[in-house]
Amino acid sequence: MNWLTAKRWSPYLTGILIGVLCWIAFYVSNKPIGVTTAFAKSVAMIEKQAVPKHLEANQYLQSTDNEGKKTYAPKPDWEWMLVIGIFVGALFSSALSRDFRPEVVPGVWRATAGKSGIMRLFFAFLGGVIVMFGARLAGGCTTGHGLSGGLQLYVGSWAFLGALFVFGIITAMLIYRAKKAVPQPPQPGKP
Amino acid sequence: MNIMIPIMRPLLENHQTIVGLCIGFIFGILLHKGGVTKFDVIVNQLRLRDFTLLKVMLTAILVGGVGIYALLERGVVTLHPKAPYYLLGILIGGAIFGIGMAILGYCPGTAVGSVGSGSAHGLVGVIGMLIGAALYAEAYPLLKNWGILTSWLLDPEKQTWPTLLNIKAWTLWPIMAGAIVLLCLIFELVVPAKKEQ
Repeated sequence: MNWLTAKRWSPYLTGILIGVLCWIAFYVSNKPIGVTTAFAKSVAMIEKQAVPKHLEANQYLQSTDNEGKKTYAPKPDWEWMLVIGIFVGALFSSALSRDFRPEVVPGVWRATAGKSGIMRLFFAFLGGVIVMFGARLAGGCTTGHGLSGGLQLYVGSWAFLGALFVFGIITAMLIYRAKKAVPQPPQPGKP
Repeated sequence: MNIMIPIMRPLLENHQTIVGLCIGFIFGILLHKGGVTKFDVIVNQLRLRDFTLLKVMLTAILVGGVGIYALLERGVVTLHPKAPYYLLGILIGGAIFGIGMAILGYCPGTAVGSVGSGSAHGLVGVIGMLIGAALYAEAYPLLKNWGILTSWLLDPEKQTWPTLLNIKAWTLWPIMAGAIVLLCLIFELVVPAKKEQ
């Protein structure tokens, strides 16, 4: 069972299997794999408990689809459970390959900005806010637009990928300039 | 195979939440094994020093797309547009997303996956993402008023590359496959040399 406990698989093998998983999602559930809708639903869930009148007045969270169903209904449905599944699956995979490791400051960040955990956590939070704002504005993320939209050959999704990479590359090259921050070679066990 | 749809989907209707969980579970394993739940891998992709992410994504798009278009032809699946496609919002959103991804070092899916590997900063990022979604929900009426969400509408009849370019999907896929294979070859050849730095 070496392959189950390996720390890394070939990126091509991984890509092939993700592609097959997409077939399954379309065939069995008649849905494309996506991640960010679940976040909007989670906001609806939280607001329903904390500020229900505000939720009812929120135009975005009350949006409906073509069949009149609420797109962001505060219910743990397929899209929502999928994101929970990602966490559980990654946890399971980490446990099997014994590389679950609490991490506050990753390598490239440390080489660039030092080992302050507070700084890293602050920018992680900020990055998270920005990433999701951009995703909801665009209507999806690297999974919803990039993977699912990309494989369906939607021009809008490829445009999303283009904008993402242009601005992501410029930003990363501006921020992470430490020469010492070189990529680590993949772990043993890679086929 | 066509028989299975009328039988399988109604049977699974009440169980779609479990199905979603299972699909996510496998996706989480694959993201972890692929190495893309690591900050360094994502950021080094954006620094063009490590092409793991693009290799995974392009392979998945190719395999996923060919399979789904084959199933499409047999009438067994349908496409799922994020329609209508308003290009202005997509481009601005994509740009903002890219900037955020460089700062966070993850995308939403890989951030959730990273928490499964112990990333505390990933977890804080996930909390940030909830705030980001809430912020967007608040900003939505304003963005709508400014016309950002309703500008540069893509022709509804031409939202996929085949329909836009007026070529058959099965003419386009071999070209896409060739381009993706070529790109991956370039990634394999170019990047090892850079690792010497």
